[in-house]
Amino acid sequence: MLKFILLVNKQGQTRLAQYYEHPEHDRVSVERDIIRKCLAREDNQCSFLEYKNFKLVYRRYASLYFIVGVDHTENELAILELIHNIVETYDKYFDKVCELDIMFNLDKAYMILEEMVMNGRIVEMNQNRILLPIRVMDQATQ
Amino acid sequence: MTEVMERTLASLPMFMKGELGGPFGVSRGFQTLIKAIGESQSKHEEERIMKKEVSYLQQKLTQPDISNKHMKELLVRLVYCNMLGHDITFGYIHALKLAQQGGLVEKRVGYLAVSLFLHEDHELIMLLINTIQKDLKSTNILHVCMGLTAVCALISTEMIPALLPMVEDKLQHPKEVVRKKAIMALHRFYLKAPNMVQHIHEKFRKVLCDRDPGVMGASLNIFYDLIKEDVEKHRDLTNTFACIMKQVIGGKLTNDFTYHSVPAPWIQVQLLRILGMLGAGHKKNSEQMYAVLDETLDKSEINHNIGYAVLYECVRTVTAIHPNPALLEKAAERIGRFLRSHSNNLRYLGITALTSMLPVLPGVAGEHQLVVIECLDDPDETLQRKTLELLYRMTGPTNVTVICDRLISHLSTTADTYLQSDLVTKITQLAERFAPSNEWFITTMNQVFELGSDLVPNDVAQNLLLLLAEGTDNESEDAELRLHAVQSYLGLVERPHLPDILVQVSCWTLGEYSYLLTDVEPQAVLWRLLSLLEQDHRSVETMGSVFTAICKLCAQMGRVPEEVVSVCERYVSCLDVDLRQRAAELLELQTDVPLMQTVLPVDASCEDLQIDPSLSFLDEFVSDALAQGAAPYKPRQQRQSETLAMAEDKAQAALFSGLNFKPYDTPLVPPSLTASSTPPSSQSKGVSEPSGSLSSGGSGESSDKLDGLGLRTRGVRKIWSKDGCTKVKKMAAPTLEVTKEGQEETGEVVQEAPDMSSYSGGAHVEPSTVVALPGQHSNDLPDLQEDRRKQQLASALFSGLQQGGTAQTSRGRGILKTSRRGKTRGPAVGNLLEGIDSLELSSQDPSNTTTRTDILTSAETHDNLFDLENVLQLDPIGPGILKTSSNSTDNARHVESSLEEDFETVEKDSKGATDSRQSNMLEKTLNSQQNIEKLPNNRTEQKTEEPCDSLQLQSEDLVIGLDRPQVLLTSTSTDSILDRDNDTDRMKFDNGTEVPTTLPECLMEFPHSVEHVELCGDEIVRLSLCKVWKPEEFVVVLFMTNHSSNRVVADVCAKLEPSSNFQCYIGGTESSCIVEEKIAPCSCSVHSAHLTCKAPALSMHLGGELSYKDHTLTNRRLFFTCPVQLSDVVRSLELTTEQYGEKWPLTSHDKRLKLEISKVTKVAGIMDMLQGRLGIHPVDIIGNEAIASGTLLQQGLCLLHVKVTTKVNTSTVELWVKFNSQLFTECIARECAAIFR
Repeated sequence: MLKFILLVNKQGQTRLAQYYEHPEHDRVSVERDIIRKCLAREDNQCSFLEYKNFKLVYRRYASLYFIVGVDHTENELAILELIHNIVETYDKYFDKVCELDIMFNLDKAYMILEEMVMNGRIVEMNQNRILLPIRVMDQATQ
Repeated sequence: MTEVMERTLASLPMFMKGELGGPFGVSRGFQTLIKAIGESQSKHEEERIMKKEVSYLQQKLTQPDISNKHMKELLVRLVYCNMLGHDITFGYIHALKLAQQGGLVEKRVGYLAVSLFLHEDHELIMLLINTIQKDLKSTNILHVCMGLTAVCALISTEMIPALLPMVEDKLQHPKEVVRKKAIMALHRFYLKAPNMVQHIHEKFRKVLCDRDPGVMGASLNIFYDLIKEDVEKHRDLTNTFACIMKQVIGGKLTNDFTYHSVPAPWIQVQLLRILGMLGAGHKKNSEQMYAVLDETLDKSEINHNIGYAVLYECVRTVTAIHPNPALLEKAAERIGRFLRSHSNNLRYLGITALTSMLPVLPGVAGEHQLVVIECLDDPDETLQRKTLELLYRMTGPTNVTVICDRLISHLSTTADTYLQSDLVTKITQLAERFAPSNEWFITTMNQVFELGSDLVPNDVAQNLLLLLAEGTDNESEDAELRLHAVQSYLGLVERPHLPDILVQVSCWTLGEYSYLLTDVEPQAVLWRLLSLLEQDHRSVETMGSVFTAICKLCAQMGRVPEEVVSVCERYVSCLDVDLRQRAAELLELQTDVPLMQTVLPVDASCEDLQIDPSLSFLDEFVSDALAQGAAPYKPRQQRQSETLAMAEDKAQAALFSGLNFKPYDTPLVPPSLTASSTPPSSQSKGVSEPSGSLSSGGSGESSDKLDGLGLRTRGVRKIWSKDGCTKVKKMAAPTLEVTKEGQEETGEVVQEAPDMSSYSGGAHVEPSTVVALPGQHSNDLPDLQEDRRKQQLASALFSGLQQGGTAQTSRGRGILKTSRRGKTRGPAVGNLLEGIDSLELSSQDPSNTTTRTDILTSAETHDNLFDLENVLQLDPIGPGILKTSSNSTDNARHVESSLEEDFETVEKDSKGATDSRQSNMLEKTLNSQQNIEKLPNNRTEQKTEEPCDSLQLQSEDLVIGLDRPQVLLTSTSTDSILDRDNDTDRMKFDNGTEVPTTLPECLMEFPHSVEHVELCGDEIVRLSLCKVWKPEEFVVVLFMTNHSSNRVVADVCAKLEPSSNFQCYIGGTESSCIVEEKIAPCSCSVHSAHLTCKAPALSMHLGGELSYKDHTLTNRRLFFTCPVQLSDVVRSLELTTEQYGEKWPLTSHDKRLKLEISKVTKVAGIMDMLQGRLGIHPVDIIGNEAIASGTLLQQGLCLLHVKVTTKVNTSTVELWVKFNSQLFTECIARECAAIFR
């Protein structure tokens, strides 16, 4: 089960934060802690981290870190690939996505993510299917 | 970032046109925000920008009429702010509204915002249900999708019933996207409340076989959770899952689903997990899936992470299910590939897979040991931890030491508490299972305790101690173990900074087994333990265990050394009860060494304690106590039943004691009513009416005091009648009992008149119903007589009042209002005033309105007289009024300072006015009736000697020849008043002897009041006061008397609280408390309190509290106040005229008064009066001017200049007061004004 998905840049600024369970703790400080841990890691090291009582799976894309918090039942590599799929989907939608795209289209980014993961479970990984409702909506309002 | 920003700026127009990415242009505001954030150099600046943004948004949102589009923009910005952790609660409702009202995109954004801002427990979610319901019913698919997505994010258990049917419905929706979302919504429902979706498990199965793979994939989530919950129910689905898996890997899905040439990898992973759960421990199920697993393993040869992911999952599944050697072989091989790869991720997976394989294929680890070792030493922490996990699983008796060492080293280096506790658990488990030797075990455990400290659970320590205590069958081994333990702990306790748990373990061990140490003296061990005690920061349990160890050692040694004793003595008084008990026990035990050794036997920790539940060893003690009169033990049952019974009794008692359950008497109706409601005009009838009312009201009455209306209005000050709120009249009868003089009734009678007059509307007198006396608590006289008396009274009164009432009434009312200040006076004083009042009436001098009203005032004020519970406040007006009344009656008389003279003159006057003197009015209380009866006679002539007589009486009480007016106070309780002799104020003891009332010798030479003022008292104790006027101070001599004949009072304490301008000295030191330990019966103790003051106050008093313990040791308190007059503190200052002249311009504050006195007075008279009242020294009289001087207890100078101009019938007194302090000037001026009024 996924606990959260975070997009954080190298300076520690959160670009997107989607939580799948109500966090009891102070979000901002936890995010900072997590990004600090991830930043401290070298490239050749594992993309998986054990943090408190759950796991982090992270991947860096340019200046943006995609961090997913999962519990112990998950397949870490699969989650890693989930992250990649997300990026690919964004790429498809935004056409060569960059951090700014996400910043300026925060709502869209969230919507796409909502299509992919619900209840903290992976629902849809088919990129076309993910983007379909978004595209329909775009067209409808154009 | 700047480059990117430039790029962005360049492409901004494109953004706006919508050619890039999102087709909707972002608002300018948002752009600026992002730009600013991007350009901010520091966190601080970013904070600032964000705060500004939040406030801007807040302000913007309060404006009405925001278009939906604009709202959308604002919401996106709010989402941004929320993401960064700022509080945007104000925006929640707007998000909700937009979700409700917006068009497609706006709605979507609204929903998004809501799902980001709120959580399921938020109260605003309620508002959303309706919106969701509407959207679910909508024909627009997108709406439905939005609704379902929102459901997944936000719904709580309570809302499920509202939405369940609709969502269920959507399972059959033609569109797969809807179905997919519906199944996820149901999944959410299942997670929240499994019981609510129990009926639709069938539907889930149908969805599993949905023609759309996406929907099917979504349903896998549900099944994963369902199967995790209950495997058995879904075993039949194994085949289905296996089939689906086959189809998936067989490429039956469309190309969309392929991700890097792996078909639907995540669905595969999900399926594999489900299969793993189904096959675990179930041979049959496992057999069904072997084929597909095999296939999977073969197929995932792809060199891509996702392939590896599937592979990994497959391996995990293989290891989870019933073992199949071939599959395992294959799996192991794959793992090998993982481990050999260079990617840490893959190695990580390999290690994990290896870990899961170990139970099935133990040898596999051995094959890859090198890799494992490599991983162990890898700088990557994650890998290390995973490898440790592997090692943990790999541990057996052979490698336990090594592995434990590793684990311990990790434990010492890591700072992560989760990891620490994890490692502690692992190490302890390994040590307990595989310890090669006990020594090693102890050493390892010690290390764990040291490193783990608080994270080590207590039962680990317990296990260790058990091991030591119980040992194995091998005795010698045990001994060896214990010896080793003791030795190691002995070394350990030397070290500082030991965690508590380690200290506890060490102490216990040392206490139990240190005797095994042959080379070390118990003394030395004791020393070590004592030094441990010094560490105060330890928890109580630790200290307790140290103590116990010390006890044991002492027992073993056979004696208790002095150091231990001293330590125990110290701990006997420490804050913690536990330690105190231990210390005390040891101190006790040291007296009886054999006992100590029995209590703390050696190496007996495993022996059971013999407990005698009947406590038979205490039998002797119990029988002794019973013999001495102790109450026998009552078993719990008995106690409970007794308390219940008692409670019932008490309840009963409470109910029926003190409360009068007798029903009220029926009120007597009409005649009284009609009487009291006589309209004002019928004043001629007034006289007879009240009598009628009185009689009717009174007749047929029992002992209850009822007024004419038949209501018990005793204690009521004002009663409502048709005429308005009339003041309550005291009942004549009760007043009689209360006061010692027989003049109460007269006073009361008199009083009725002014009251009535005051409240009546105008120039007439209305009969008011005679009502009960407020606050009376004396016996009731028979009412019949009373009523008759009242009748007579009324007739007498009204006829008398008619003439004189006019002038009085209007004034009276005004004064009454102002003067009712709750002043209470003793009945004696009241009498005085009533007397004066009646005097006034008799004098019929309408011109003396001023004085009269004052009298009325006084009459009014002492209406409260009879409220005897109150502390009485002396009104210095009393005697003054006396004087003034005498003034008023005596037109050109000199105002004499002595009251006696006044009396005489008054008497003369009254003589003139009245016909006969009723001397028997001077009789005591109990002759009240006679007095009452005689009254009307007097009244008709509108005069009373009674007041005069009362005055006379008073004057008899007062010391003749004193130049100071006497202040009379009454006590607070009726008892004392009743007890008091009419003749004298002197206190008498119960046995009849007189109280010695002499002042201390040193004070005798100064002018003092001869008569005692009773401050307070009750049937046992009395406090009275005597004033001594010393030049520099005002001394108050207090007499505390125990006038009972046989009861001793103890702890008598009189606390004086003088006004704030006083300083009180008792016994030479500044204090205000007089304490007397004991006062024997019929004895009196005398104390003097010296009061000095710097400045006067407008009203000065000396109050206080007398508390004592009576013979029954109950604390009693009495309160008193005694007003202090200005004259008490003003002393005369002898100045010559010249000196006066010198000082006159020098003194600063002055006040001029001009008073009209309605009779002709001479300067001399005025001076005398002033002298008498204020105690100032008349310096000179020149013509019609006079000067006087005084001082305030030798501090400050007071100069007075009086000028009297006399006209025909009035005098104008001009007064000029000068003093150093403004306040004093005010006081003096007021006094003078009061005097002359």
